[in-house]
Amino acid sequence: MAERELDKAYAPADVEGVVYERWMAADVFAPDGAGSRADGSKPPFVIIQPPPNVTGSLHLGHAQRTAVEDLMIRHARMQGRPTLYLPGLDHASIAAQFVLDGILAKEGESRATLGRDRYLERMREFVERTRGVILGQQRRVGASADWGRLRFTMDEGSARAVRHAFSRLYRDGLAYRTEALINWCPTCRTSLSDLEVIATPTTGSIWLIRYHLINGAKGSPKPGEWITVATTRPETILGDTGVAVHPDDERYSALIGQRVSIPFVERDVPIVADHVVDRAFGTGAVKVTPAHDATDLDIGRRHGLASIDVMNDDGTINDQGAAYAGLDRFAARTRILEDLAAAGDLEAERSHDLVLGRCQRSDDIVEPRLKTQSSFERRRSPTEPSP
Amino acid sequence: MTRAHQTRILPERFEKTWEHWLTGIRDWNVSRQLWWGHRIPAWYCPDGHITVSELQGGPAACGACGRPAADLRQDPDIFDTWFSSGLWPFSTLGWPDATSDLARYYPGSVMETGYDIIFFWVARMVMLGLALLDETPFETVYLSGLIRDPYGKKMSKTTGNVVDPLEIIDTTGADALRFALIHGATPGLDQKLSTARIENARNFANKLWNATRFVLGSRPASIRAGSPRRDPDAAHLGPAERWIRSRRAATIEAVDRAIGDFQFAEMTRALYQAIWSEFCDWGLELAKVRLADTSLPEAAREATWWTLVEALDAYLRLLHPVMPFVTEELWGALPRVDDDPDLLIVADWPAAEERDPAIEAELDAVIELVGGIRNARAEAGIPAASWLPVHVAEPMASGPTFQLLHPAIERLSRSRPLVIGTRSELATAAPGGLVVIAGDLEARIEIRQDAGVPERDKARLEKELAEAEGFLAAANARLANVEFVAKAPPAVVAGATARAAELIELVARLRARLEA
Repeated sequence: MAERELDKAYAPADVEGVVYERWMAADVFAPDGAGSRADGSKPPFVIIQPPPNVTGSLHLGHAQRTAVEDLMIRHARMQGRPTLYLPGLDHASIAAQFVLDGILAKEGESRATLGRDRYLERMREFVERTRGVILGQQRRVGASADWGRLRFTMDEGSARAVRHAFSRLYRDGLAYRTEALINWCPTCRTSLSDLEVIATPTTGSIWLIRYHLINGAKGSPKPGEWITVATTRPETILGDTGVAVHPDDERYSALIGQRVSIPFVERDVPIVADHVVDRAFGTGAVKVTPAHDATDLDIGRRHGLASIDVMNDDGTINDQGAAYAGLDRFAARTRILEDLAAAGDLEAERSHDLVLGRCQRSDDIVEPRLKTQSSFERRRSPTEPSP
Repeated sequence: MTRAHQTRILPERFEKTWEHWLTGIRDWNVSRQLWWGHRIPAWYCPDGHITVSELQGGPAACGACGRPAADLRQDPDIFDTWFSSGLWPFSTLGWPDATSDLARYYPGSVMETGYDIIFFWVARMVMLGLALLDETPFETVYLSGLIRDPYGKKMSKTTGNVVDPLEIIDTTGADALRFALIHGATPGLDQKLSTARIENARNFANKLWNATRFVLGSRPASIRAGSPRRDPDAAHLGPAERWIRSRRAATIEAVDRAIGDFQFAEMTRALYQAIWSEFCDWGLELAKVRLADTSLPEAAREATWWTLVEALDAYLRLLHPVMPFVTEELWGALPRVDDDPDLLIVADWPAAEERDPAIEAELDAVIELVGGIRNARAEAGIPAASWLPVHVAEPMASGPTFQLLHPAIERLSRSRPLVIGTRSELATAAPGGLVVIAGDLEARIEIRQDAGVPERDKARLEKELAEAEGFLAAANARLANVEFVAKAPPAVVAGATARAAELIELVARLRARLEA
């Protein structure tokens, strides 16, 4: 074969595009391409590419990953191994919605105004554009991927795999549906996995609030008799269905079994004794909101307390919240504290170190909420001993 | 040993976090109240029954009570995006069908991804691979670090320090970007990426280009253009040619080892050193002298040229995975053998070759001598172009190498005449000349006694002595360390002892010169 003449100086821009086309034309990327020189008797070398999100263009991190993967692939290919570099794209569910919601907001639209079908139509248009950008960028970096095997996490093949996997795991008892406390992001309006919640230490407050005791029979408040509870989230008062103290706490032993009235909603709830209560926290008496706190849900289940969700998906107080319905959760907190103070029921506010869960995507403060969810049992699969 | 541990994780320190996560896990809630994603294939009937179906259109009827599909309502939720990504290693190969791709390519070899998503993603792929295919989805997990700006800051839109990879490719080429990124890549560690590093990589590509052009342009007239590549004729190899071949073998060995250990940064360092500092700086310079020497037989000059082509061919192959574009283009311009394909991308990886330790040691000495003469001249302020007489004392043990390379040493060190004698002859030659001590070799450079030169030369020798004494002190300290002597491999201890002996000799000789 005739040798080519080389230009005096190296101009990458004149060479790279031409060389990439030469590779494509020779069909050398696929292990079974026309130009492959793979030796079928050698062990295959396979990298399934981590699919980049279709949310925008690639950054340097992607370029590095592609460079490292492509290095291993090209080395194996030159060793004569049947070499598969399978490229793909990820639909990036929550991340993509986050980006599209931002675009829609500028147009004065939203998920709510478009509705599910039109929203998904807009999403497909968006993805179609970014897809071309991302694939073009990978070619520029020189990825010798088998483009004929390109996959997308939302293509029909993936959809089938998802349906089949879920059905099998459900049948095998590894997937189940249950009412559970989930991490709710009011900005993204979805639940999040624990991994998507960033634990953020912060200094907040602990408020001491008086709940008035009521006469069992008559249901009317006993004047001048109360129990002081401690809370870091006063807005959840609206969903309280009990007050809990430690069974061995002598300060409260006479009160166990008595009933109190929840401020504003005037709900008549019991004082229960539960070992989980920390006597050193606040006053040693805590309010119980099973729909918005994991410990409270456990207490509620042990004592048969109702679970009342007081929040809408967007983080505003729902119609369980009496006069506070419609207010954002933090506006409601402020108003509730003002109203408690006016009534003389806010005993104290103390500084308190706590850990807030924030959404990895939106940074919004995550709210624990009770919802019915599909879940996978983890313990039984990956750590199972080798047979 | 659990099945999840059949996967090797790089770097290994992540195996601990991995273990921690796998044992301390809570159930994974996969429902998301979003729209863009796979809808959960569960249908509810008014009587509260749940029917899970894998059919595309859903079940025909309630699985429990037989109510028709029209009465059923599908779950409005979609799956967590990591659920479909968790199936990725096998859904991409056609699973759940028993395709030939799945049989052939599952499990995969390497999963390369960021250490920040080891639990989000890698653990879920392993979990689902085991649950559904009873096999971990890959042999090795290679965790990459993040790319940071030159100050170590994470790149983000808010900070405004985001670099667009396409901009770098537009200005310096994809190969330079790839080389720079791989050069800084250590599994699990973040890297700072500077413009200097990218420019250095671009210069490397240019160096390679110019070297190839030089080799192609220096083909002896006796070799026809377009001739297929031949092995150099062993009967006509000189010391430089044998050295080039041995260093090529050493580089193949180093690159193979680096790739085997997933040390890709080490691979780029080995290639940079071999191509630039050895092949270009010395191999080509030594070859130039022989190619121009018409007193040599044609066959000798041909052997030199084929040695260069052979080395370049191997280096382009070895560098191809890192810098695919420029290597492909250059390789296309080199002579090839009949078995070679048209394209480097599918050419054979270089096979391991025998090294020649004797010739490597001899050439090391020559290179050190030439470097020493250049350095002494530079420090004495002698113009680079001027020729000076040099006397060299040839070491007792040296073979014909020194004689054979005489023209090259003369040319590369601007030494004329270059007189070779014994060490005792040297003592009387060129009194007051610049002294060069390079390993076993010793040289005197004759100089006109301009004002200032002797002082500058004395200062240089004093500097060299101080340096050698420093190294010697460190070597002695090491050997005095009982721990080291007891625990280090015997070969390492022997090496350290030999090094200390060499340094004692060097210090003694430098002292002798200074006192003379």
